[in-house]
Amino acid sequence: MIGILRQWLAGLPAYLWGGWGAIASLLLLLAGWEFASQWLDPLALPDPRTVLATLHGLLTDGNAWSELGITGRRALTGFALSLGIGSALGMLAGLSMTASMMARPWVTVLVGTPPIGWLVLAMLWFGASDGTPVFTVFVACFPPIFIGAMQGVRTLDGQLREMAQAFALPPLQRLFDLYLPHVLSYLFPAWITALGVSWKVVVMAELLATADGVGAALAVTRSQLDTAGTLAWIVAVVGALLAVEYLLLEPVKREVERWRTLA
Amino acid sequence: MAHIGVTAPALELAGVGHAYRARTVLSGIDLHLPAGRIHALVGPSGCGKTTLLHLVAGLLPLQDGAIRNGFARSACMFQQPRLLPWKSALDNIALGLKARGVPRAARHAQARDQARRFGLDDTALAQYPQQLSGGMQSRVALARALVLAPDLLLLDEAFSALDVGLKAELYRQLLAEQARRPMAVLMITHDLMEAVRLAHAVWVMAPEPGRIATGFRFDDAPAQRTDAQVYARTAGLLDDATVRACFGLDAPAPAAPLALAAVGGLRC
Amino acid sequence: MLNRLLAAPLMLCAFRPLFLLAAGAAVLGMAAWLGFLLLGWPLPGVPGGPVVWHAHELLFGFTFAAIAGFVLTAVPEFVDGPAAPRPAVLALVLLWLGGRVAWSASGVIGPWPAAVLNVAPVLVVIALVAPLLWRDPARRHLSILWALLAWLAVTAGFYTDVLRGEPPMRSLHAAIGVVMVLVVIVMSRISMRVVNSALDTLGETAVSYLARPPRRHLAVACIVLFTLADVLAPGAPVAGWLALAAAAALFNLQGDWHLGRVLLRRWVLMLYAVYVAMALGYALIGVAVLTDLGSVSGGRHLLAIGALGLSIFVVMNIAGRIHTGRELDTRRWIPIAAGVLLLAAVARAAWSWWPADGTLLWLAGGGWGLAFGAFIAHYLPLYWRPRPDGGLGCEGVMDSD
Repeated sequence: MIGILRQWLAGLPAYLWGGWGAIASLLLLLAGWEFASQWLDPLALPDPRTVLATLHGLLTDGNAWSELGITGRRALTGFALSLGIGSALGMLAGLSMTASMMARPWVTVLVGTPPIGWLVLAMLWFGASDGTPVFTVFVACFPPIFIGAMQGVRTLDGQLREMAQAFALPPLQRLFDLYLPHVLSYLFPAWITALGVSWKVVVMAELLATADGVGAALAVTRSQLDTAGTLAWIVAVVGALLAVEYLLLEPVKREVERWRTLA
Repeated sequence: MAHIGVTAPALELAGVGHAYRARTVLSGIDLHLPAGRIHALVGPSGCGKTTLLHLVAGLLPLQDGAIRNGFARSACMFQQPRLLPWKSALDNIALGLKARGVPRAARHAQARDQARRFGLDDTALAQYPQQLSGGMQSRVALARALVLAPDLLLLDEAFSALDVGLKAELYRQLLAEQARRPMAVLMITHDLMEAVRLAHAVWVMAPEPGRIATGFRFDDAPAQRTDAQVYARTAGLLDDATVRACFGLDAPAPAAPLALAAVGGLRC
Repeated sequence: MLNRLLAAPLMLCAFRPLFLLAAGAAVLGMAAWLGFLLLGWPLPGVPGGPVVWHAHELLFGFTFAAIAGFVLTAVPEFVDGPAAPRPAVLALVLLWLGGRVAWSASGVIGPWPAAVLNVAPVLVVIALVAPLLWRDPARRHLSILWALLAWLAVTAGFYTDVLRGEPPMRSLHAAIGVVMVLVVIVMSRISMRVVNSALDTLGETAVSYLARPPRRHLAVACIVLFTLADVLAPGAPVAGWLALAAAAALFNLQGDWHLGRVLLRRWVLMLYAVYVAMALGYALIGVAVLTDLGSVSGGRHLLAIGALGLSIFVVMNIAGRIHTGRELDTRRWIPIAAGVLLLAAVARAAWSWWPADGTLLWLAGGGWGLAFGAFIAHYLPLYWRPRPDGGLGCEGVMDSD
């Protein structure tokens, strides 16, 4: 365990340094935005510096942090619920051929139902409480996680299972050395997809259903025709998502899947 | 040889049979494998030899007959390396030791010792299976079986996908290990020459249903056998009418059949 | 007379006269500039004024001579082709010298002679190496040809502006961009050898250095985009973002070099410092364009002294030495001179904030002059004499594999 931690820490500087490539491409994107904004009406597309200044203003007067906190709480609650329940149910479904056969159409129904439909239902069920965005996020994140977990268990190599039996691996070792590493390699990408979904859906839910959070703030900037404010909130949400994904999930994923990337 | 006595442990199969649904794949298999000996089961694809090995390894429930495994420890090597892709070569070799509850430091030391004998250095041991060549993976797989110091080693077409050089090297490793201690080996293969090179006894299986059609003994030590001997014995086996029938070869025996006995083979 | 000149050891290979002339131009050009700024010496009157004279001489004089010397030596080695013929090299040298005189006299004789005598040597270099680069079966080094054509474009662009009576500074800024691209391209070739042989020396077999094309391409693309924006709309925010992107892409490129203590080996560290100076230079420009912090001129001088000057100094010490049949110089003056150059870059950048402080200028110009003066002192004796191994041309150390 200490060895893994040490390896992880040793790899961290190189990983963080690799972020420069992403920063360079984001800066190119900003240059493109700046270029486009020179040709367009500032009401349609303000230039990035104005938007960043607006965001800076929102952050320094303190409002943005609380709104982001509220939105983050809702998104992460829904995401965490989905992560726990979806992973567990997906793995259970994967264990049984019958269960996975049965579950497939349900998942198709879940995927096929538009999130906005869920949102309207949630508004009817939960009203203006936190329950509405949390539930909508949960439902939207559930299918990819469930499918990932199910696929992970279903695709477990029969040959490796046989090997584990031939070498008489005890149940706990089988779980930690065989099942979990394999299933995680399916679950992690699914979790990352779902995290992105959670941020997008929570803002949409807030826009329509709540009085606070980033979505509600966006509703205000829309009504005031404040394009710079709108873009500032979008930048804040995207920035928060990038930070969570690249500073938290991606390093963990790299460590868990190191065996895959080194080939 | 001193270690072959009445009290020495052995693997005994009596009247073993097996059926998948309505299809009988094995019937009436009798086998006696004493400690320190290498027995080979050869036969065409589909003759049930893998099923037989799985029964011995306990990977399939026994339906008919009896298997008495007098050996305390057995280990397996499969046709594919079947390494855990998320574990380093060292941890893969130590897998069986971990299953036995050997503490981490001890099992790593043992695995390292075994690996060294196989020419696997620390760099290779730190790598993941995907980073290793196919040959290295096979070495790791054989080391993973041998590090358990098994009394009975089961080989399921373990060498059939390897190039000749690597085969020769793994044969050497296997025979060297077998010279160190009285390990019984039951190997299944479709390669007659491999059986003739390594085994004290070669059992030829016939398909539908899988059964032992005939068998040959070679009493000299496998490590001493020369290439010429192996070729001559293989040719002798291939001249045998029963063997040809088992493999579905047409037109038995040319005009002057080679005398297998002249090159050291005795029909059981 | 001509035959004796062509047979002289100084003409054994193109880099010998050209590296010496480059270093000479570096020292004299800087001395004149310092004298003008600090002691009130007069400078030749040229179109655009003293700053244009200064930038022109250090780019089309110093930098071009170094590029020509390197390209004419390295390209035949890269593609296993014949070295440039000596009469062509002599013609190149004479044209280059003519270009120096004609430019400084352009206030008197008009810009046309300078235009011809500064564009012609670029054409000569391209004519000498383009067939080699093109005929190479895999065309692995074609990017060098594109960079040379870009250099031709900025030289021609400069004189087009001069002849049309427009401010010509933008072409000189673009020239810095072209050199930065060329440095990134050339260093990817040189560093593969330098870093891996340093790894061998350290006995590190577990890692090897690889100049990864994707990172290099991203950096080159960012530099090219910034250079274009800087020419078309200098000072516009788009250029600022692109400068920051170039800085980030260059930091990204440094990731290739993070292989442990090998980074502290002298040649490795000096080449790495080139990328650091380049990244910081672009960062400074980007910040200056987008905010009221930073300094565009300071950033440009980090590029020109820290990246351009240091890379030329290091490359002249590598290519300019092994192609005389000698192993790399292990003496201490080289890292000291490299350190002095970096110090000069920092001092010049700092002067942009404290323009009243003449000491910073003395440090900057003096450091520059010391480094290239030391080069002349150490290499003139080598270039003046025949090769110690009896070699008759550009070939590297003879007994090495």
